[in-house]
Amino acid sequence: MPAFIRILPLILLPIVLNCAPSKQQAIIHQLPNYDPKAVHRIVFVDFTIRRNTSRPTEQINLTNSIIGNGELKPIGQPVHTPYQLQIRYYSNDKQVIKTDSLEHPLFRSLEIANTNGTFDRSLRTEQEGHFSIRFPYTDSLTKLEIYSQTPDRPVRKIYTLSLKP
Amino acid sequence: MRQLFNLLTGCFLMTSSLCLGQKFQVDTLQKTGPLAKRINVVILGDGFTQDELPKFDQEAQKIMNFFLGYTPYNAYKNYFNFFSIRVPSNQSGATNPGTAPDRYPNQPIETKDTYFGSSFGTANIHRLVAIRNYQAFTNVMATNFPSYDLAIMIVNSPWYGGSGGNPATFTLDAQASLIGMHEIGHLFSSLTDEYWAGAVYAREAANMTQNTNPATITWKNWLNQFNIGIFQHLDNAVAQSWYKPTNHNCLMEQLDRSFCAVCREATTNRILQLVKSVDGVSPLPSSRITVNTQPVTIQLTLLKPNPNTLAVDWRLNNLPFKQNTDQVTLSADQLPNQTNTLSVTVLDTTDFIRLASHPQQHRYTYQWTLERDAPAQTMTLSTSRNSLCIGESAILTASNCSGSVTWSTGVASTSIAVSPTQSTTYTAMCTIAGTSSQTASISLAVFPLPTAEASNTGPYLENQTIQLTAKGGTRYAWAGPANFTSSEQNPAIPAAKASQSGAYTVTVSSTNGCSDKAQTVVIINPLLSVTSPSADAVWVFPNPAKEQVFIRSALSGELTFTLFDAKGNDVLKKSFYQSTEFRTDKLVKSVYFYRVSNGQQILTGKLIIE
Repeated sequence: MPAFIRILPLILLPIVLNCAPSKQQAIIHQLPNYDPKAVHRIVFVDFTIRRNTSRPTEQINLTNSIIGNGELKPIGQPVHTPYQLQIRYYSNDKQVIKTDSLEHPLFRSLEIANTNGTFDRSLRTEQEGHFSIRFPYTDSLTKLEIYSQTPDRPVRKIYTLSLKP
Repeated sequence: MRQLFNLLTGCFLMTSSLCLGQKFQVDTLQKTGPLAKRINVVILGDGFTQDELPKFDQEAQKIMNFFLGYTPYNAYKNYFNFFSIRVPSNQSGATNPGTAPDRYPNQPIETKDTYFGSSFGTANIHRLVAIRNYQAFTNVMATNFPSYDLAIMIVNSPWYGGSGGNPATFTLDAQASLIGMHEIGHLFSSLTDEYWAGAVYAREAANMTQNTNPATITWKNWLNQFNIGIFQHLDNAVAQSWYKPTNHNCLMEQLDRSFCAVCREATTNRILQLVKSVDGVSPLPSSRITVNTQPVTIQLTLLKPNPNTLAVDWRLNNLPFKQNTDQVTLSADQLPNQTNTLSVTVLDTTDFIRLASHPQQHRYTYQWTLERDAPAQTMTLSTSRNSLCIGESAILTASNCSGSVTWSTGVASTSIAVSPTQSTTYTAMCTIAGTSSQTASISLAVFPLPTAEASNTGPYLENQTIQLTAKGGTRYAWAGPANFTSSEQNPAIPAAKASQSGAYTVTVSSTNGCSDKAQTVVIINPLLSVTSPSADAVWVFPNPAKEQVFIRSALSGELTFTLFDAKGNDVLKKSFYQSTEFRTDKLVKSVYFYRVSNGQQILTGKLIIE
C-alpha cells in the first residue's frame, strides 16, 4: 500500500471535522480560544451558503467557529435590502431574544467607486457566498436559526445551529 | 494522485492554521477610555510583509488621523479608541487577477500570498478590492480583539480600490481613504447613497425619503441652509419618487465632498448613541450624602467634544445652582433644608444635531440626596400650661423635628391648641422622609371648676350693715359698687349708703386655681329723715291715722307719695297734684315713713297707723 494511502485517513479526518458541511452544533467549551474564566464571551462563526438545485432552500455550511472574550456594543444596524438573512437567537425557554439581519450573500449589493469620484452600485447574484456573524454568548443561549428572505418567496428557515455549553 | 495529495495536504494545513487563532501584536494608536465606553476602531493591514509592518504602522496612523480629522468625527475624537493589529503577510501587495473588464492597463497581473487574501477584481469589478479569506479575518479578530466596533483593512497597494462591508477595505491610494469614509457612513451611521443606486436600495433613512413635506421631512430643520433642500433622484420613474437632502454635495454621493449637514447629523447622533458624554460620576448617583463640617464635592467626568458643546446644569432642590462646571462643592450651610436634592443634567448642544428627539435621547440626569449632618435630635414637646381648668385651652408645641409632626388628635402641625375636658396625654410623631420616625408624649392635668354662690342679707336701709356671703371655694375676691373689693369670704359693709346698692360679684377659687363667679344684688334704701311737714309744705293728716289719710302739699307739679315700712320696703305709692288720700285698712298698724317728691324736691315724714 502506498504511503499516501496509509496516511490518507490522518489527512482527511481533520478536514472532515473542520470543513464538514451542515454542521449544526457548536460546543462552546470546545471552541478555539475558549477561556473558562471569561465573564463575557463573543462567538464568531463563518458560513458558506450556496444555491441548492435539488431543494427549495439554500444550503448552509458552518465553516469556522471560534470564541473570544469581551462584550459587544449594539453596533449592528439592520439591513434594509429585500434580500437578507435573518438570524434569530433563542434562549433556553424557547423565546427569541434577539433578531439580527444581514445582506443575503447570494444577492450582494456591490458599490463601486469610480475614479472620477462618483459611485455605482449593482446587485450581483451568486451561486455561492459566505457570511460571518458574531454574537455575545451566555449559557442561556441555546440555538440560532437562519432565515432567508427574498422578494420572490416567503421567509423560510434554512439553517439551525444548536449551541451547547 | 500526487496532485490530490498536495491539495489535501494544503487544505489540512490551511484549515488547521485558521482554526488555531493566532495572536498578533495589537498596538494602541489612541486610547481615550475603557473599551466599553468608547467606539473601538481596529485597523488591520493585508499585503504587508514582516519587513513592511512599520509601513503599515504609518498607514494605520494616517488612516486614524484622516478619520479623526473628518467632520463630524473630528469633534468627537475622544469618543474613539484606535488600535492596529500587525498581521504580516508572506508577500507584499494584493492579488490582481487582471480579468475584470475595467482592469487598470498598467497594473501588473499577479497573485500574492497575503494573510487575508486581498484581491482586486472582486465580482469581476476591478476596483472592487476585498479580502477573500474571511475565516482568517474572523480568527484574527476573535483572537486579538473580539469586541471591536469597526474594522478597517488597509491593503498594501497603491492602486485605487476598496469595498464596503466588514471590514471596510481600501488601498493606499489617496482617494481610497475617502472610499473608506463613504463605506463607514453606510456601516456606522446607516446612511444611504445619495446617488441613485437602484430601487432595491431605496429606503426611508436619515438622508433618503419619499416625504416631500417641508414641515415633516426628516431633515426639515436643515432646509434652505448648508445647501440642504429636497432633491429628487432622477434616474427613472422609481427614482423620482425618492428624495435626498443635497445634490452632488455630500460624500454619500461624491468622493470630493464632505458629509452634508444631514449626514453629519446622523453620524453625530450615532456616535452619541454609542458613547455617553458622561464618563463617570462620583459619588454614585442616587446615593445619600451626609454633609458635615467638611464640604462635599460632586464630580462628573465628562467626555467633552471639541469644541466643548456640553451644557451642564446643576440644581439644588430644583433651583438653579451652577452651570457648565464639572463639579460642585457644597458645605452644610449651603443646604437650605435638612434633606436636599442635588441634580445635574448634561446635554450635548452640538450644532451638528437639530433632531427634536436629541434632548430626550442624549440627556443624562443624575441625582443625589444631601443631608445636613446635625447632631441626633430628639423631638420634645412643650405646653403653654401644664394644668388646665375645664374650658381652658393650652398650646402644645413640638420642637427638634426636621420632618412633619402629626399629633394623636390627627392634626398635622408643629403646634396645636387643645381644650381637654379631663386629664389627657397627647402624643406627637415626627416623621422624616426616608428615616425612622420618633414619638413623644405630654400630659395635661384638667381640674373641675368650683361652684360659686353669693348672697346678701338685704334689703337694707342706709346706715345698716351689708352682709355679703359667698361659698364654693377656698379663696374669694369680691367686687362691687363704689369700688368695693374684698378678699374675705363673707365681708360686711357697715353704714351702707344708697349709692352702694347694686350687683356684687365674687370670684371663687379652688385650691388648684380654678375659679367661678357668682353675683348678688344688694338693695339699700335711703334712710328717710323726718322733717316738719308744715315747714316743708306737706301735710299728712290725721297723724296718727286710723282709717284714712289725707295729703296736702304746696309743692308744684306732679307729686309722688311713697310709704315705707320700718324695714324700708315701700308699701304704697301714689301720684297726685296738690292733694290726695288713701285708706289704711290694708296696712298693718305700725310706724311708717313717707316721702313726697316732685322730682326736684323731696319731703319726708313719719306716719303712724293705728
